Amino acid sequence: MEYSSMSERILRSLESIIKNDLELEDFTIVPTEDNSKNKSPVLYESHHLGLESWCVKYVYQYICTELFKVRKSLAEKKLGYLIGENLNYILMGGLFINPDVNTFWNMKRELVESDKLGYEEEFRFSKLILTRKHKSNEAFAYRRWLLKRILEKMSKNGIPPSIGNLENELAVTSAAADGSQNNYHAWTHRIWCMEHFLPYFPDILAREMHFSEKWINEHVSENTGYHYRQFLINLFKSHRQLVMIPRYFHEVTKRLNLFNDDEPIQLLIFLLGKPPKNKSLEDISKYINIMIVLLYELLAVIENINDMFTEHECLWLHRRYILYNLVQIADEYLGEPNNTAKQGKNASICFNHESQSSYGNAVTNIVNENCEAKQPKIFKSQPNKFQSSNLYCVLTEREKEFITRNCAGSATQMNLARRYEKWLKLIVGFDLT
Amino acid sequence: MIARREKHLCLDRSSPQERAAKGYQGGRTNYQDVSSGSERTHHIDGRTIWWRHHNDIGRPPNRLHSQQTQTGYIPRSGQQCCLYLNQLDAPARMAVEVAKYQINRVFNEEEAPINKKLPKELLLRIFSYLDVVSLCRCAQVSKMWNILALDGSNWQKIDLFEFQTDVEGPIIENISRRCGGFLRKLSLKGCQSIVDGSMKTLAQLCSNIEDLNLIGCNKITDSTCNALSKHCSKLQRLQLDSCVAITDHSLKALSDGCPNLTHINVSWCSNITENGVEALARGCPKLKSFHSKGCKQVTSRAVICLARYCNNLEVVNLQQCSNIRDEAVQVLADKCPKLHYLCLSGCPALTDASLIALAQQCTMLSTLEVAGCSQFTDAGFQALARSCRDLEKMDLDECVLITDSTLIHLAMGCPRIEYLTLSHCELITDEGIRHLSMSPCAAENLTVLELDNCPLVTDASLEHLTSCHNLQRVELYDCQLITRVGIRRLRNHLPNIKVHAYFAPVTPPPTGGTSRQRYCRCCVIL
Repeated sequence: MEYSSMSERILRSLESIIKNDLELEDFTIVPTEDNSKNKSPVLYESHHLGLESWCVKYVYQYICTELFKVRKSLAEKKLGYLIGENLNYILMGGLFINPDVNTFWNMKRELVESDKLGYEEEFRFSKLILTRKHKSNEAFAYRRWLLKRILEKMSKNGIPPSIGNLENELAVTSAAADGSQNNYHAWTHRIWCMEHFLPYFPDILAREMHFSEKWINEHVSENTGYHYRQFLINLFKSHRQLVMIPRYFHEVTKRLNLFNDDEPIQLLIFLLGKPPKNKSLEDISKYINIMIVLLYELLAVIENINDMFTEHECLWLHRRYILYNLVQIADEYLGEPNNTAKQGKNASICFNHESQSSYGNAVTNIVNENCEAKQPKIFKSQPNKFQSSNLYCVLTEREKEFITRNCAGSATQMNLARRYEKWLKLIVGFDLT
Repeated sequence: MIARREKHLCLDRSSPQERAAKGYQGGRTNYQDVSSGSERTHHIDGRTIWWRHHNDIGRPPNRLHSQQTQTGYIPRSGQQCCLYLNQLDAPARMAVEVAKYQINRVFNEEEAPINKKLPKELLLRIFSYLDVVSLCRCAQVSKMWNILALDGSNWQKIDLFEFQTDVEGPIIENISRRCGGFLRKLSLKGCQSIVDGSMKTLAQLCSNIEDLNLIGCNKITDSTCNALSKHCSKLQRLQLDSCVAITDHSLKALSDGCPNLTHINVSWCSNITENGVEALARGCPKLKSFHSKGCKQVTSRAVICLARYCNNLEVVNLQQCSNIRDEAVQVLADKCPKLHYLCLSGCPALTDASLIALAQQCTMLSTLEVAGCSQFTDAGFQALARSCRDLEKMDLDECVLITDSTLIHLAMGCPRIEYLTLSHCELITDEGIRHLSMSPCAAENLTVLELDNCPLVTDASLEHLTSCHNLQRVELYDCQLITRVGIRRLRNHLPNIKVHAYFAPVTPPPTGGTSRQRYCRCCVIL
């Protein structure tokens, strides 16, 4: 190969930069038409790394021939002396140029398995890949694979994992989510991390709530952000310790014009009456948590965003989710035969196909048209405990006010408000007259 | 392949040690002739059959063969053949007969003609020239060949690098049992599954080993070296490159038990310290070659001890032993005048004093690698170039202080230079290259010149280099004053040269208004 010497030199210089600069921020391929100068195509300036595009063709050709030569022997773990050690720089180059090649990632995995690569450098490397291609599912999958290995090793030795790992992941995913729109790969990675690390670090939940509130304020019409927030809210449902965020509580009492007597249980009693005898203290704190979070979402977060940014369907869909959950929680608390929960199995909270919000057995969103006609009758014929509670009064008041307020706006906003009103009436069964 | 060989290696239960002790050498053996007279007569019978066969074709062949052979299945297959045979015409029948006869002959004879013609001693001698793979193939031919091919005398030098991933403990143990005292040279480079146990067996059984290569066998530890020191006093060359578990104890053991050691390589064994090197130097005064790349704990004191006790040192590699200082190189130069290879790359503490000491004492120096010794200046190289006239290879990568003056002195003083690296020597200009290319070395010897990252070098240098007829490779990466035109001109003068630069072929400009004919020729004619 004519350019193998040049390619190897380029790859080596990339490798040495990555090895020596631990604070490398990003990598990118710089489009250039042609090289008129005898100058290295590797650009490196104050922690930013770049590769001029003219050399990509030759370098990638070299990478592929070199890597596929050893592919088989690597998979059989029969690599010759020194070959395994000298593979990583070629793999790095290959993934920089084309991060979608799963074979290369798998070769990296094989090298990690034979202890030829360290975890730290691999995390740093995949992070660099994500700075170029934010939606690289392969890179996220590789990180998850590494994390899983770490978690397994730690649990074998009985050591809790370090928060550093989690914080690293959170930083990487938020950077990737900022980098490109609707980056579900990043958010699912974040969800995976939360699921695996939350048992070790319960405090992180409050921080994440704060983070996601800030994020959706900045990205008003991105379903991914709401999706993640709904995942977090769902986590509150299963959380049995009181992890209430005081700020939320104060905000909720203020918005409801209640006296702030610093007793969250009073709020619950005011809204839904005294707790039934059979509920344990843990259960009650769970209800307090979820109630406050949902109310805060409904009264503060959505209101704030809606005041500033109108005409975003995501926000309306998010509101549907919140309201649906409020009704469901209230029914569960009051020991009602859970109408909405039953509905939840077959009816939809959201009529919109785009808003995909399903994780596990949580909220299913199968669109089921024929239930629209049937369900309202059940509500009208059987007025239940929930409809006589304070929460119902508060909610109907708020919703009425919210809808009338938004109907005054533009046509699109009015349309959205009307649709929401219809949903409330027909599916949830609110009496808005 | 290896698995099969292993099986064969297991077969021999004779004691090679005894045979080795009796003094077998090469192909000379006193094997008693195994082939008996009966075999020969059988063979003669075969010949007569063959002869007779030609004469009476019409006879039913199966009967003939059932009389002659004791084996049952051949006649039966012959009967089957016969059924088809009756349907064939005469010439075809004859051809089949002949073929069948030949098959039978192979089964009948127990000895091939080659074994008859050649005595065992000669066969053994022939085998002694074969490589590992061929020997193993030969060992599968017959029982006799198996014995002959796997005789220890054929296995005096074994290189298992090609089978590095397959070699495991039992193979080494079988080899040591097979070869015993015959084994002189063994290379296990890259055989990473080798552990101490099998190496101990090897040391015990093959006590005559002289050359042992264990590069990259990173599982072996000090106990291997202890065993070697206990049993293998004839050991001369030992390569322990990248055996990271090796410590000073190994070197101490070797110094006690292997006084004949001439070559040792402990590169990248980062546990080696000056104490181990000192012990080695005291115990092995015949040392000629010492490699300790990347052993940061090998200090000046270690090198001084080495120089004091081992005056025959010829090859010394201290790459990246960054604690080495001038006094070490001075003593080394003073005590070891035979030095011809020295690598001091990555020892940034060295100054011109080292070069001057080398220039005064080591006039036989042919290779000097000093990459990254950034304190070296023109003065040092001037002294060196004046006295070391045999220099062939010089690596001056990142000796940032040197200027054209070094090149001028090298050009005048060292006519044999073949390989010169001037990477990152940023003060080099066209003038230096001009002097270099006019020197006697340029016309005759210079084959590789590395000039990457020399920003002042221009196309004029390439013009000068056209006079270096032997030049095969020039590195010009990142020399931004070099142009495509200059490189093309150099290539025109030296057609076989490899020029390495960051130039990809120019993409041809998009051919917009093509001159393709609109009509085919016949239409034009019409």
